Amino acid sequence: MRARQLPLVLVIGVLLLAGCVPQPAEDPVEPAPSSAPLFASEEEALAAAVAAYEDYLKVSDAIAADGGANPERLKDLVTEEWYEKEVEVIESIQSGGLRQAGTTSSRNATLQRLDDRGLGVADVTIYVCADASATRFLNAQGTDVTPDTRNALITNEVLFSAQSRTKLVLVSSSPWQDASLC
Amino acid sequence: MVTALVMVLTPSAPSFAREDICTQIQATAGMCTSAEVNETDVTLGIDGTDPGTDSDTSTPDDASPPTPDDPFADCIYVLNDRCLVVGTTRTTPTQPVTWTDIATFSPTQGEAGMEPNGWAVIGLPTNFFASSAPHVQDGVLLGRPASVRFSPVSFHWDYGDGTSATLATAGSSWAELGVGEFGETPTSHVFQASGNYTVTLTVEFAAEYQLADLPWTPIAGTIDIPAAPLTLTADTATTVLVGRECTINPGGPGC
Repeated sequence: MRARQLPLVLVIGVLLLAGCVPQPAEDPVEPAPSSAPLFASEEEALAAAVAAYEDYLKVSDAIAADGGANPERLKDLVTEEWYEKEVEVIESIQSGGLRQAGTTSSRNATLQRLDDRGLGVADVTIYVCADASATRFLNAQGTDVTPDTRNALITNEVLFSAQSRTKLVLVSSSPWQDASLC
Repeated sequence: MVTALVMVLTPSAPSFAREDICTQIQATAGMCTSAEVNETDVTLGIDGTDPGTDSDTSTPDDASPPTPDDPFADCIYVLNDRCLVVGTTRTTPTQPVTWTDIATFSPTQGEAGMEPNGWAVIGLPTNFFASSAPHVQDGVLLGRPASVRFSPVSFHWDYGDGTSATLATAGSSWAELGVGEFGETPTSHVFQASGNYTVTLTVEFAAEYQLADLPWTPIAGTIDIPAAPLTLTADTATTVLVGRECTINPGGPGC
Protein backbone atom coordinates (compact mmCIF):
# COMPACT_ATOMS: atom_id res chain seq x y z
CA MET A 1 0.00 0.00 0.00
CA ARG A 2 2.74 2.35 1.01
CA ALA A 3 4.61 1.70 -2.23
CA ARG A 4 1.49 2.53 -4.21
CA GLN A 5 0.82 5.79 -2.35
CA LEU A 6 4.22 7.40 -2.98
CA PRO A 7 3.82 7.76 -6.75
CA LEU A 8 0.40 9.32 -6.23
CA VAL A 9 1.88 11.91 -3.88
CA LEU A 10 4.62 12.62 -6.39
CA VAL A 11 2.10 13.03 -9.17
CA ILE A 12 0.08 15.44 -7.10
CA GLY A 13 3.26 17.36 -6.17
CA VAL A 14 4.33 17.57 -9.78
CA LEU A 15 0.93 18.80 -10.78
CA LEU A 16 0.98 21.43 -8.05
CA LEU A 17 4.46 22.56 -9.09
CA ALA A 18 3.34 22.75 -12.69
CA GLY A 19 0.50 24.98 -11.59
CA CYS A 20 2.99 27.32 -9.90
CA VAL A 21 5.17 27.72 -12.93
CA PRO A 22 4.76 31.34 -14.12
CA GLN A 23 2.99 31.61 -17.41
CA PRO A 24 3.79 34.39 -19.88
CA ALA A 25 1.58 37.38 -19.08
CA GLU A 26 -0.96 38.22 -21.73
CA ASP A 27 -0.50 41.95 -21.16
CA PRO A 28 2.71 42.81 -19.30
CA VAL A 29 1.71 46.51 -18.99
CA GLU A 30 -1.54 45.73 -17.25
CA PRO A 31 -0.89 45.56 -13.49
CA ALA A 32 -2.51 42.72 -11.70
CA PRO A 33 -5.37 43.64 -9.37
CA SER A 34 -4.10 43.92 -5.85
CA SER A 35 -7.45 44.24 -4.12
CA ALA A 36 -11.15 44.21 -4.69
CA PRO A 37 -12.80 47.03 -6.64
CA LEU A 38 -13.57 50.14 -4.62
CA PHE A 39 -17.20 50.21 -5.54
CA ALA A 40 -19.59 47.35 -5.19
CA SER A 41 -21.55 48.49 -8.20
CA GLU A 42 -21.84 51.19 -10.82
CA GLU A 43 -24.76 52.62 -8.90
CA GLU A 44 -22.56 53.06 -5.85
CA ALA A 45 -19.86 54.77 -7.91
CA LEU A 46 -22.41 57.09 -9.45
CA ALA A 47 -23.83 57.98 -6.05
CA ALA A 48 -20.36 58.75 -4.72
CA ALA A 49 -19.57 60.92 -7.74
CA VAL A 50 -22.85 62.81 -7.40
CA ALA A 51 -22.14 63.47 -3.74
CA ALA A 52 -18.64 64.72 -4.58
CA TYR A 53 -20.01 66.93 -7.34
CA GLU A 54 -22.61 68.44 -5.03
CA ASP A 55 -19.87 69.20 -2.51
CA TYR A 56 -17.86 70.84 -5.28
CA LEU A 57 -20.80 73.00 -6.35
CA LYS A 58 -21.54 73.98 -2.76
CA VAL A 59 -17.99 75.15 -2.10
CA SER A 60 -17.71 76.86 -5.49
CA ASP A 61 -20.90 78.77 -4.73
CA ALA A 62 -19.59 79.79 -1.32
CA ILE A 63 -16.29 81.08 -2.73
CA ALA A 64 -18.01 82.99 -5.52
CA ALA A 65 -20.52 84.43 -3.04
CA ASP A 66 -17.56 85.71 -1.03
CA GLY A 67 -16.14 87.42 -4.10
CA GLY A 68 -13.44 84.81 -4.51
CA ALA A 69 -12.17 84.84 -0.94
CA ASN A 70 -10.43 81.78 0.47
CA PRO A 71 -10.27 79.64 -2.66
CA GLU A 72 -8.29 77.05 -0.71
CA ARG A 73 -11.63 75.68 0.40
CA LEU A 74 -11.61 73.76 -2.88
CA LYS A 75 -8.26 72.11 -2.31
CA ASP A 76 -9.61 68.92 -0.79
CA LEU A 77 -12.22 68.51 -3.47
CA VAL A 78 -10.18 68.81 -6.66
CA THR A 79 -6.79 67.80 -8.00
CA GLU A 80 -3.85 70.15 -7.71
CA GLU A 81 -3.94 70.87 -11.44
CA TRP A 82 -7.64 71.65 -11.39
CA TYR A 83 -7.20 73.82 -8.32
CA GLU A 84 -4.73 75.99 -10.24
CA LYS A 85 -7.35 76.56 -12.90
CA GLU A 86 -9.93 77.37 -10.26
CA VAL A 87 -7.61 79.95 -8.71
CA GLU A 88 -7.02 81.58 -12.08
CA VAL A 89 -10.75 82.01 -12.58
CA ILE A 90 -11.33 83.09 -9.00
CA GLU A 91 -8.65 85.76 -9.35
CA SER A 92 -10.51 87.16 -12.32
CA ILE A 93 -13.64 87.29 -10.18
CA GLN A 94 -11.72 89.18 -7.52
CA SER A 95 -10.10 91.58 -9.96
CA GLY A 96 -13.47 92.27 -11.52
CA GLY A 97 -15.00 92.95 -8.13
CA LEU A 98 -17.65 90.34 -8.82
CA ARG A 99 -19.61 88.18 -6.44
CA GLN A 100 -22.28 85.54 -6.91
CA ALA A 101 -25.77 85.57 -5.53
CA GLY A 102 -27.75 82.34 -5.38
CA THR A 103 -26.66 78.73 -5.59
CA THR A 104 -26.04 76.18 -8.31
CA SER A 105 -27.80 72.83 -8.39
CA SER A 106 -27.27 69.60 -10.28
CA ARG A 107 -29.54 66.88 -11.57
CA ASN A 108 -29.90 63.93 -13.94
CA ALA A 109 -26.44 62.53 -13.35
CA THR A 110 -25.59 59.43 -15.35
CA LEU A 111 -22.52 57.24 -15.24
CA GLN A 112 -20.43 57.59 -18.35
CA ARG A 113 -17.53 55.35 -17.36
CA LEU A 114 -16.21 53.49 -14.34
CA ASP A 115 -12.61 52.35 -14.32
CA ASP A 116 -12.35 50.33 -11.13
CA ARG A 117 -9.98 47.44 -11.56
CA GLY A 118 -9.08 46.81 -7.97
CA LEU A 119 -5.95 48.96 -8.01
CA GLY A 120 -6.93 50.85 -4.93
CA VAL A 121 -8.13 53.84 -6.98
CA ALA A 122 -10.89 54.27 -9.48
CA ASP A 123 -11.86 56.75 -12.15
CA VAL A 124 -15.50 57.71 -12.28
CA THR A 125 -16.82 59.79 -15.14
CA ILE A 126 -20.35 61.13 -15.10
CA TYR A 127 -22.58 63.31 -17.18
CA VAL A 128 -24.52 65.77 -15.07
CA CYS A 129 -26.66 68.82 -15.61
CA ALA A 130 -25.42 71.87 -13.71
CA ASP A 131 -28.17 74.44 -13.24
CA ALA A 132 -26.98 77.98 -12.51
CA SER A 133 -30.25 79.66 -13.42
CA ALA A 134 -30.85 80.66 -9.80
CA THR A 135 -27.57 82.57 -9.66
CA ARG A 136 -26.60 86.07 -10.69
CA PHE A 137 -23.27 87.82 -10.76
CA LEU A 138 -23.05 91.28 -9.24
CA ASN A 139 -20.34 93.88 -9.52
CA ALA A 140 -18.91 95.93 -6.67
CA GLN A 141 -21.78 98.39 -6.98
CA GLY A 142 -24.32 95.58 -6.70
CA THR A 143 -25.31 95.85 -10.34
CA ASP A 144 -26.29 92.60 -12.00
CA VAL A 145 -23.61 92.02 -14.63
CA THR A 146 -24.61 88.46 -15.48
CA PRO A 147 -24.11 88.15 -19.22
CA ASP A 148 -27.39 87.76 -21.05
CA THR A 149 -25.75 85.18 -23.25
CA ARG A 150 -24.83 82.98 -20.31
CA ASN A 151 -26.02 79.43 -20.66
CA ALA A 152 -27.22 78.65 -17.16
CA LEU A 153 -27.96 75.01 -17.94
CA ILE A 154 -24.87 73.11 -18.92
CA THR A 155 -24.39 69.39 -19.28
CA ASN A 156 -20.94 68.59 -17.95
CA GLU A 157 -18.76 65.57 -18.30
CA VAL A 158 -17.02 65.35 -14.95
CA LEU A 159 -14.14 63.03 -14.18
CA PHE A 160 -13.43 62.06 -10.60
CA SER A 161 -10.54 60.14 -9.15
CA ALA A 162 -11.62 57.99 -6.22
CA GLN A 163 -9.15 57.01 -3.54
CA SER A 164 -11.89 55.38 -1.50
CA ARG A 165 -15.63 54.89 -1.68
CA THR A 166 -16.19 58.30 -0.14
CA LYS A 167 -13.08 60.25 -1.16
CA LEU A 168 -13.44 61.46 -4.73
CA VAL A 169 -11.58 64.46 -6.14
CA LEU A 170 -12.62 66.29 -9.28
CA VAL A 171 -10.07 65.90 -12.06
CA SER A 172 -11.82 67.82 -14.82
CA SER A 173 -15.16 69.18 -15.88
CA SER A 174 -16.05 69.85 -19.48
CA PRO A 175 -19.26 71.30 -20.84
CA TRP A 176 -20.95 69.41 -23.62
CA GLN A 177 -23.04 70.92 -26.32
CA ASP A 178 -25.87 68.47 -25.94
CA ALA A 179 -28.17 69.75 -23.23
CA SER A 180 -30.50 66.76 -23.15
CA LEU A 181 -29.70 66.09 -19.49
CA CYS A 182 -30.83 69.60 -18.63
CA MET B 1 -26.93 38.51 -27.43
CA VAL B 2 -24.32 40.73 -29.00
CA THR B 3 -26.79 43.55 -29.25
CA ALA B 4 -27.58 43.29 -25.55
CA LEU B 5 -23.88 43.43 -24.69
CA VAL B 6 -23.36 46.57 -26.73
CA MET B 7 -26.27 48.25 -25.01
CA VAL B 8 -24.80 47.49 -21.62
CA LEU B 9 -21.41 48.89 -22.51
CA THR B 10 -22.75 52.00 -24.15
CA PRO B 11 -24.22 54.52 -21.72
CA SER B 12 -27.58 55.95 -22.52
CA ALA B 13 -26.05 59.40 -22.87
CA PRO B 14 -26.13 60.76 -26.39
CA SER B 15 -23.06 61.24 -28.49
CA PHE B 16 -21.93 64.53 -27.10
CA ALA B 17 -19.32 66.75 -28.63
CA ARG B 18 -16.66 67.60 -26.13
CA GLU B 19 -15.90 71.25 -25.41
CA ASP B 20 -13.19 72.94 -23.38
CA ILE B 21 -12.80 72.45 -19.65
CA CYS B 22 -14.64 74.92 -17.47
CA THR B 23 -14.90 75.41 -13.73
CA GLN B 24 -18.32 75.83 -12.21
CA ILE B 25 -17.60 79.42 -11.18
CA GLN B 26 -16.61 80.07 -14.76
CA ALA B 27 -19.88 78.60 -15.96
CA THR B 28 -21.97 80.42 -13.40
CA ALA B 29 -20.35 83.74 -14.31
CA GLY B 30 -20.92 83.05 -17.98
CA MET B 31 -17.20 82.77 -18.53
CA CYS B 32 -17.34 79.50 -20.41
CA THR B 33 -16.79 80.59 -23.94
CA SER B 34 -17.74 77.12 -25.03
CA ALA B 35 -21.12 77.30 -23.37
CA GLU B 36 -23.93 76.84 -25.78
CA VAL B 37 -25.27 80.20 -26.88
CA ASN B 38 -28.27 80.83 -28.98
CA GLU B 39 -26.83 83.55 -31.13
CA THR B 40 -30.18 84.77 -32.33
CA ASP B 41 -30.91 85.85 -28.76
CA VAL B 42 -27.80 87.96 -28.47
CA THR B 43 -28.45 91.64 -28.20
CA LEU B 44 -25.93 94.39 -28.24
CA GLY B 45 -25.77 97.05 -25.61
CA ILE B 46 -24.89 99.70 -28.14
CA ASP B 47 -26.40 100.13 -31.55
CA GLY B 48 -24.64 101.79 -34.38
CA THR B 49 -21.59 101.27 -36.44
CA ASP B 50 -18.07 100.35 -35.67
CA PRO B 51 -15.71 103.28 -35.95
CA GLY B 52 -14.56 103.64 -39.47
CA THR B 53 -17.17 101.42 -41.03
CA ASP B 54 -20.37 102.45 -42.65
CA SER B 55 -21.87 99.13 -43.59
CA ASP B 56 -22.05 97.44 -40.19
CA THR B 57 -25.54 97.88 -38.89
CA SER B 58 -24.85 95.77 -35.78
CA THR B 59 -28.21 94.10 -35.76
CA PRO B 60 -28.61 91.13 -33.44
CA ASP B 61 -27.90 88.84 -36.34
CA ASP B 62 -24.49 90.43 -36.58
CA ALA B 63 -23.62 89.27 -33.10
CA SER B 64 -21.50 86.47 -34.40
CA PRO B 65 -18.64 85.00 -32.39
CA PRO B 66 -15.58 87.22 -32.21
CA THR B 67 -13.58 87.29 -35.38
CA PRO B 68 -9.84 86.72 -35.43
CA ASP B 69 -9.40 90.45 -35.98
CA ASP B 70 -11.49 91.31 -32.96
CA PRO B 71 -11.24 88.35 -30.59
CA PHE B 72 -12.59 90.22 -27.60
CA ALA B 73 -15.44 92.03 -29.28
CA ASP B 74 -17.98 90.54 -26.88
CA CYS B 75 -15.77 90.17 -23.85
CA ILE B 76 -16.44 91.77 -20.52
CA TYR B 77 -13.37 90.40 -18.81
CA VAL B 78 -10.12 89.52 -20.47
CA LEU B 79 -7.40 87.72 -18.54
CA ASN B 80 -4.03 86.78 -19.96
CA ASP B 81 -5.26 87.42 -23.49
CA ARG B 82 -8.18 85.07 -22.97
CA CYS B 83 -11.79 86.08 -23.00
CA LEU B 84 -13.22 84.92 -19.70
CA VAL B 85 -16.57 86.64 -19.76
CA VAL B 86 -18.71 86.93 -22.83
CA GLY B 87 -21.29 89.64 -22.47
CA THR B 88 -23.99 91.37 -24.38
CA THR B 89 -22.27 94.71 -24.31
CA ARG B 90 -19.28 94.98 -26.51
CA THR B 91 -16.26 95.83 -24.44
CA THR B 92 -15.03 97.97 -27.25
CA PRO B 93 -18.11 100.04 -27.98
CA THR B 94 -19.22 100.14 -31.55
CA GLN B 95 -19.79 103.87 -31.26
CA PRO B 96 -17.33 106.35 -29.83
CA VAL B 97 -17.91 107.10 -26.18
CA THR B 98 -18.84 110.75 -25.72
CA TRP B 99 -18.83 113.18 -22.84
CA THR B 100 -22.55 112.53 -22.49
CA ASP B 101 -21.79 108.86 -21.83
CA ILE B 102 -19.45 109.78 -19.00
CA ALA B 103 -21.72 112.45 -17.56
CA THR B 104 -21.71 110.65 -14.22
CA PHE B 105 -17.96 111.15 -14.03
CA SER B 106 -16.50 114.60 -13.38
CA PRO B 107 -12.95 115.81 -13.00
CA THR B 108 -11.71 117.13 -9.72
CA GLN B 109 -11.68 120.90 -9.67
CA GLY B 110 -8.24 122.48 -10.05
CA GLU B 111 -6.86 124.91 -7.51
CA ALA B 112 -5.26 128.27 -8.26
CA GLY B 113 -2.34 129.70 -6.32
CA MET B 114 -0.28 132.86 -6.47
CA GLU B 115 2.85 134.53 -5.13
CA PRO B 116 2.83 136.85 -3.32
CA ASN B 117 -0.34 135.53 -1.81
CA GLY B 118 -3.19 138.02 -2.17
CA TRP B 119 -1.22 140.99 -3.45
CA ALA B 120 0.82 142.12 -6.40
CA VAL B 121 3.36 144.84 -7.07
CA ILE B 122 2.55 146.97 -10.04
CA GLY B 123 5.14 146.49 -12.74
CA LEU B 124 6.60 143.32 -11.21
CA PRO B 125 5.71 139.73 -12.10
CA THR B 126 3.13 138.01 -9.95
CA ASN B 127 3.53 134.25 -10.09
CA PHE B 128 0.36 132.23 -10.70
CA PHE B 129 0.21 128.46 -10.71
CA ALA B 130 -2.39 125.70 -10.82
CA SER B 131 -2.63 122.50 -8.82
CA SER B 132 -4.18 119.88 -11.06
CA ALA B 133 -2.85 116.47 -11.99
CA PRO B 134 -4.22 113.48 -13.94
CA HIS B 135 -6.63 111.47 -11.83
CA VAL B 136 -8.88 108.45 -12.25
CA GLN B 137 -12.51 108.01 -11.27
CA ASP B 138 -14.27 104.64 -11.09
CA GLY B 139 -17.90 104.16 -11.93
CA VAL B 140 -20.25 102.60 -14.44
CA LEU B 141 -20.04 103.31 -18.14
CA LEU B 142 -22.42 101.72 -20.61
CA GLY B 143 -23.70 99.53 -17.81
CA ARG B 144 -20.30 98.07 -17.05
CA PRO B 145 -17.67 98.84 -14.43
CA ALA B 146 -15.32 101.39 -15.89
CA SER B 147 -12.71 104.00 -15.08
CA VAL B 148 -12.34 107.46 -16.52
CA ARG B 149 -9.03 109.29 -16.36
CA PHE B 150 -9.03 113.08 -16.53
CA SER B 151 -5.87 114.90 -17.52
CA PRO B 152 -5.41 118.68 -17.52
CA VAL B 153 -4.29 119.84 -20.94
CA SER B 154 -4.41 123.64 -20.63
CA PHE B 155 -4.87 126.39 -18.06
CA HIS B 156 -6.79 129.51 -18.90
CA TRP B 157 -6.11 132.51 -16.66
CA ASP B 158 -8.38 135.53 -16.62
CA TYR B 159 -6.42 138.12 -14.67
CA GLY B 160 -9.33 140.43 -14.13
CA ASP B 161 -7.52 143.37 -15.69
CA GLY B 162 -8.84 142.82 -19.17
CA THR B 163 -6.13 140.39 -20.11
CA SER B 164 -6.02 136.61 -20.13
CA ALA B 165 -3.70 133.79 -21.14
CA THR B 166 -4.11 130.14 -22.03
CA LEU B 167 -1.05 128.21 -20.94
CA ALA B 168 0.03 124.63 -21.45
CA THR B 169 1.87 124.47 -18.16
CA ALA B 170 0.40 124.54 -14.69
CA GLY B 171 3.30 126.55 -13.31
CA SER B 172 5.11 126.24 -10.00
CA SER B 173 6.23 128.33 -7.11
CA TRP B 174 9.27 130.55 -7.36
CA ALA B 175 11.12 128.25 -4.99
CA GLU B 176 10.37 125.15 -7.06
CA LEU B 177 11.46 126.93 -10.23
CA GLY B 178 14.57 128.32 -8.60
CA VAL B 179 13.51 131.82 -9.47
CA GLY B 180 13.87 134.73 -7.08
CA GLU B 181 10.89 136.60 -5.71
CA PHE B 182 9.15 138.75 -8.29
CA GLY B 183 11.06 136.90 -10.97
CA GLU B 184 9.40 136.14 -14.29
CA THR B 185 8.03 132.61 -14.78
CA PRO B 186 6.18 130.90 -17.64
CA THR B 187 2.96 131.56 -15.75
CA SER B 188 3.62 134.98 -14.23
CA HIS B 189 1.63 138.12 -14.97
CA VAL B 190 2.37 141.79 -14.50
CA PHE B 191 -0.36 144.12 -13.34
CA GLN B 192 -0.07 147.64 -14.67
CA ALA B 193 -2.48 149.51 -12.43
CA SER B 194 -3.36 149.52 -8.81
CA GLY B 195 -6.65 148.08 -7.69
CA ASN B 196 -8.42 144.98 -6.56
CA TYR B 197 -8.52 142.14 -9.03
CA THR B 198 -10.29 138.80 -9.26
CA VAL B 199 -8.22 136.19 -11.08
CA THR B 200 -10.03 133.15 -12.45
CA LEU B 201 -8.41 129.87 -13.46
CA THR B 202 -10.22 127.46 -15.78
CA VAL B 203 -8.64 124.05 -16.35
CA GLU B 204 -9.29 122.25 -19.60
CA PHE B 205 -9.44 118.46 -19.11
CA ALA B 206 -9.15 115.66 -21.61
CA ALA B 207 -10.58 112.25 -20.70
CA GLU B 208 -9.95 108.62 -21.42
CA TYR B 209 -12.03 105.63 -20.42
CA GLN B 210 -11.19 102.04 -19.60
CA LEU B 211 -13.57 99.08 -19.57
CA ALA B 212 -12.35 96.07 -17.62
CA ASP B 213 -8.67 95.54 -18.29
CA LEU B 214 -8.70 96.89 -21.81
CA PRO B 215 -6.41 99.73 -22.87
CA TRP B 216 -7.32 103.32 -22.16
CA THR B 217 -9.30 104.90 -24.96
CA PRO B 218 -9.46 108.68 -25.44
CA ILE B 219 -12.76 110.51 -25.58
CA ALA B 220 -12.99 113.18 -28.25
CA GLY B 221 -13.18 116.75 -26.99
CA THR B 222 -12.40 118.38 -23.66
CA ILE B 223 -14.24 119.91 -20.75
CA ASP B 224 -13.51 123.21 -18.96
CA ILE B 225 -13.72 123.22 -15.17
CA PRO B 226 -13.28 126.58 -13.35
CA ALA B 227 -11.32 126.74 -10.13
CA ALA B 228 -12.13 128.91 -7.16
CA PRO B 229 -11.16 132.54 -8.02
CA LEU B 230 -8.29 134.44 -6.42
CA THR B 231 -8.62 138.00 -5.22
CA LEU B 232 -5.65 140.30 -4.90
CA THR B 233 -4.68 143.90 -4.43
CA ALA B 234 -2.11 145.44 -6.71
CA ASP B 235 -0.19 148.50 -5.64
CA THR B 236 3.12 150.19 -5.96
CA ALA B 237 6.13 149.39 -3.85
CA THR B 238 9.02 151.64 -2.94
CA THR B 239 12.46 150.42 -2.09
CA VAL B 240 14.06 152.33 0.78
CA LEU B 241 17.25 151.97 2.65
CA VAL B 242 16.66 151.24 6.30
CA GLY B 243 18.96 150.87 9.23
CA ARG B 244 17.79 147.43 10.21
CA GLU B 245 14.85 145.25 9.21
CA CYS B 246 11.70 147.21 10.00
CA THR B 247 10.16 144.15 11.65
CA ILE B 248 13.00 144.10 14.11
CA ASN B 249 13.40 147.83 14.55
CA PRO B 250 10.12 149.49 13.53
CA GLY B 251 11.25 152.86 14.83
CA GLY B 252 14.48 152.84 12.90
CA PRO B 253 15.35 155.24 10.09
CA GLY B 254 13.19 154.75 7.02
CA CYS B 255 10.61 152.52 8.70
